[in-house]
Parts: sequence; C-alpha cells; structure tokens
Amino acid sequence: MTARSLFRNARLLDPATGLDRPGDLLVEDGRIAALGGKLTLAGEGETVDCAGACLAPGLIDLRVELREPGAEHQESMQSGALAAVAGGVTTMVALPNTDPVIDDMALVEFVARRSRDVSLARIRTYAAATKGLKGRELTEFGLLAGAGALAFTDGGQAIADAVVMRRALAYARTFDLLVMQHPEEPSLAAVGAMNEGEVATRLGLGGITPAAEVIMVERDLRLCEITGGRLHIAHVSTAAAIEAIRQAKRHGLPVTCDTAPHYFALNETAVGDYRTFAKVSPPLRGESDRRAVVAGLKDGTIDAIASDHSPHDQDSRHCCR
Amino acid sequence: MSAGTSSLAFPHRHLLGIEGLSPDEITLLLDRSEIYVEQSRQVDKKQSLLRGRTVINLFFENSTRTRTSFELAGKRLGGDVINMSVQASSIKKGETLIDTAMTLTAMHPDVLVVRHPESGAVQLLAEKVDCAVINAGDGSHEHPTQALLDALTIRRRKGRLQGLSVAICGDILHSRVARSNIALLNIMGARVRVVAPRTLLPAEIERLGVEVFHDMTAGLAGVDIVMMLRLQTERFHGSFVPSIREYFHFFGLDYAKLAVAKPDALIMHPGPMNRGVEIDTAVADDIDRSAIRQQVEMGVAVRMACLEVLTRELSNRAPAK
Repeated sequence: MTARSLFRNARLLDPATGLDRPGDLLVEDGRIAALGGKLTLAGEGETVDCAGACLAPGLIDLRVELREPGAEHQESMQSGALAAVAGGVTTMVALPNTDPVIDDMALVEFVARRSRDVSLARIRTYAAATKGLKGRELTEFGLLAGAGALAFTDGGQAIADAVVMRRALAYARTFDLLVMQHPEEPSLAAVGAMNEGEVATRLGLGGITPAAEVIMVERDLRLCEITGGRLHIAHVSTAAAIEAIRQAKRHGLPVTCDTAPHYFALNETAVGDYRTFAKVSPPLRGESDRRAVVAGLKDGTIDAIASDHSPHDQDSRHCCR
Repeated sequence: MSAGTSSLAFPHRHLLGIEGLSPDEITLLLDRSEIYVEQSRQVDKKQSLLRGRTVINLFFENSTRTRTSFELAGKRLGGDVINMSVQASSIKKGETLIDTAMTLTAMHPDVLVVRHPESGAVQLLAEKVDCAVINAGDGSHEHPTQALLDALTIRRRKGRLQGLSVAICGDILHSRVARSNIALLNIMGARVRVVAPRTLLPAEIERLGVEVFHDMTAGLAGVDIVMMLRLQTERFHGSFVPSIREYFHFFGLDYAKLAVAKPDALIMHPGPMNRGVEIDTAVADDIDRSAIRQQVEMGVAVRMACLEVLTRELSNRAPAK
C-alpha cells in the first residue's frame, strides 16, 4: 500500500527552478508525487494544512562549527544534527577547527562516517588550509578534496601571513578548489572584546575596529586578483568590506561571500549590559554596518547566509573566571 | 542612629557605577559623607550603625588604599569587616567568579565590596548574590566611590560642582576613574575635558560628554580642576607611549603646564602616583594646590556614606539554599 501525505495551503519554494507560488504538494512513499494549485488525496493518507507556511527543499548551512572530535561536551555531531533538522537544515558543512584539526584525509573520512552513523542531517566538512591551523604549511589540498573536503579554511582564525594566503589561493587554483577566509586582521582583533565605538567605551571594554575586516578583505582581494584562485569570504559584517567585495565582483574576480543572521538582525547594543552571550567573532557591529549587510543581501553582493553555529558551554560564555 | 536619617531615599540595592544615579542621589551621598568626615576627625571614630552587619571586601586585584579605606569605613560604622584577596586563593584552584560569589553569599554578608580586573565582572556577581554590592573598581569600567570622593573633595574646596571646568589628563583609555568621573561631573553640571595622546583615548570618547584635547597647554587653559591619572602600564598590551621621558615631557603635570590653568586650580590624583611620569613631585606635594591627601581622607567618609545608605533597609533573609 502506498503511504501518502498531502501538504495543503503551502507557499511552495524551490530556488533551483525559481518556483515560488501558493499551492499543495503530494508525497507518496517518501517522494514528491505532485505539486500544484489544488491537489486531492486519492485514497488513504494524511492531510497537513500548512496555513501559508513555506515548503522548500532542505536548507544547506554552509558553515557550522561542530565540536566532534575533541569537545563533545559542547556539541557532538548527534546534537548538532538534531538542532539542524529541527531548523529545516538537511545538509551542513563543518569547519575544521576541532581537536584534532581536520587536516588529514583520515579525519575527513571520519566526518563522513559519523555523518552516516548519525543519519539525520548530512554532515560535510571543510579541511584546514594549513596544518594544525598554524598558518604556516599548506595541507594536502588535492588529496583532502579527493577524500571529500569541500573547501579549505583555517576556520575561526584568519590565514594571516600574506605569503601563505597567496600560495593557498594559487595552489587551490591548480585543482580548481575554493579557499575560505575568516576576514579579520588578527593583531587588531586581539586588543578588543567587542566592536569599537561608544558602547565599548562606556562599558570599558577593548574595541575591535571595523577596519580589521576590510584590511584583510582588501589584501585577500589583491591576492585573489594575482593568483586567480577562488576566494570565499566568511561572515562579512561591515559596510567597507561589503563595498570592497561589490567592486571586486564588478571587476570579475572569482570571489563570493556570506553573512550570518546576527549581523543583519542585531547590532552592538545587544552586548549592552555585559551580555556576554552576544559576544561573537567577528563582533556585532554598529547600526550603519548592520544596514549595509541588509543592503548587501538585497543587491546580491552577499551570496549566502550561513548560521555560523558555534556551540559553547555556558561557563565559557560567561565573561571571566 | 546618631547621624540622623536624611529625608532623601537611595533607591538602589547596589552601587555598581555612577551612570544611572541622579543629581539628588549623588548630593545625598555627598551630604552624608560630610557627617563622616567630621566623625573621622574625632578621637572616638566609632559608632554602631553597622553593628551586627558583615562587610566582605572581595578583591580580585591588588589594592592597598581602596581596600584599607573600605575596611576603615566599615569598622568606623561598627560593622564586622573581613578582607579576601582572591587572586591568590580559589581562582588559582579553578573556581569561577560565580562559585566564589555563591560561597560567600551562603555566609550571609550584608555588603560585598568587590574589585575585579575585568569590566562587567562586578555586575555579573551582583546578579548572583542576595546582598548589596559596591563596585570598588571593575576593569576599565567604573570606580564609583573614587568619583564620589573626588566630587566631595572638589565641593569642599570650591563650594560647588556646577559650572566648574575640569580637565582629566592622561591614561583615559584604561581608566575606570575617568569614566566614573566623566559621568558624575556631567550629571552634576560641570564641564569636562580630557587631555591625552590619541593612543590613550578610547573611541568616540566625546560622546560621553567631554571636550577632547591632545595638548596640555590647550587642555588646561582656564580650568578649575586638574585631575591627573596614573599611567596604567599593567593594563598595557604593547606600546601606547614610546617612553616615560617623552610622556612626561608632553603630558606630565609640572608648573609650566599648570601655569595656564586658573591661578587657584586644584590638582588631584586618584593614586597611587607615578612621580616623574604623569606628575612632577613638586606639584604633587604643593600644599596650596594639591588636594591629593585630602582625597584619601574623603575616601573613607564617602565609603562610610555608601555603606550606610545601602544597609538602611535590610531585612532578615531566608536560609541559604
């Protein structure tokens, strides 16, 4: 007997085909059998009234941090995948900043095996761009890509050395691979706990200038230009960086970027009364930067929204020991 | 109660900062302090207002003068005062700030006087305990009793705060004293200037209601009060000024720079002083111009007033859970 489910009154969305219309969708034996304006259930089956909610293919979260291997008390692939499917995410791509670091084929294969074991959302992984995330020696891009690594990044830290970044982009181009950068000049970021400005000054906290982002972005765009290597800039959060990327795209550089929901939904005032749970990297910015992120999404300069999911235990989110 | 109760209420449970206090509340604290200045000058300095009350001085950062001042204040009001220096004990064993607070609160103190090297830590602690908390300095954020004792000193020497021109000079960036004083002087209607090299000023400081100068001659011209700040080299991460010699040459207070201030301009310093760094020894010790020793005297009185207003309406508490 065929198992049928009819989803009625949905907003049917499919970015791949450009579909966006109200209608119904019929599932038979776990596959979409029909979609259209008004469908009826032929025979037995359940009917779900979607009341105008969106019905879309599973979302792909292009950047999350999972803490497996190494810090499973903060997040395991199991708990991360449960959270993902609860939010409609059916595929997520993990950063390599685990312990040990995902910088070896065996660890890329470990992620694939654990994804099969967990069997909820599909978990793919990036590989470290440099061995041990130390920012010096490149990892085996070719072999790692062959094992399933989707791109190369040092995760939550920038590839700071310009020579290393240049070689990463040039070497990646050899195999047509992608390098993803955390865009932040580390020395400028190290002196602060939140965005630089009036709020930080009032709270007596060290500030991170928004320029820390555009400094790294502009450097990397130059390196992208001279190497031709494909560059993805993670979680852009400032007007200046977005404008630099907008211009680079106009000049035809192979660059893409994303942002995360907190950079268009919140600004630095969320840190307000020392709410350390609003401390993120890069930091929440001022209102004019937040508006620039919205504008960048609207005009397509920003290609994607990633969750930037970074699980921490409560104790480590409190300010100090 | 020997000192008599003022008609004005102090509607705050804690004293975490100057920001958020009203002119009336500050005036109340200063008026109460006057009584304790007199009391402290008597042979018999002790009274029984705080009899049966327990005050714990909880210092996560080295301090001699502030801790001693609070200790004397508590004892002169008849309270039981104990001192805890935590950098040496439980933090070393891995106990968190909150655990320390919970341990102490189970011993039923009535007031916790807390100093901590991180901005916001005292507020976090105040949220977790069920007694009154006085901020004795948190990071680069606030040091409210210092601003109150400075205000009391100025009021006694100049007769008012309203309309005075006050220059705060030196390491504004790292200074909680500066932030509390800027707040208090603005609330009380004084005009505030800050004078410092650009590396020692936090971003958008002018939004806190100050006029910014980078030159002592311009900054001190015509002021009533010169407040010097200690160069807090222990909070320096890297180089903010190239040398002590250069710093003193351009920003150290000596008679030549003081000459542009009002002839009766008062010199203040929160201590401990770095003689020959931010202030010339002869200026610091000038009995006609310097109020530095008087500031220390006012400190005890102000802290007695703070302890008084925060313990006025205590009631018996439930057993610790």
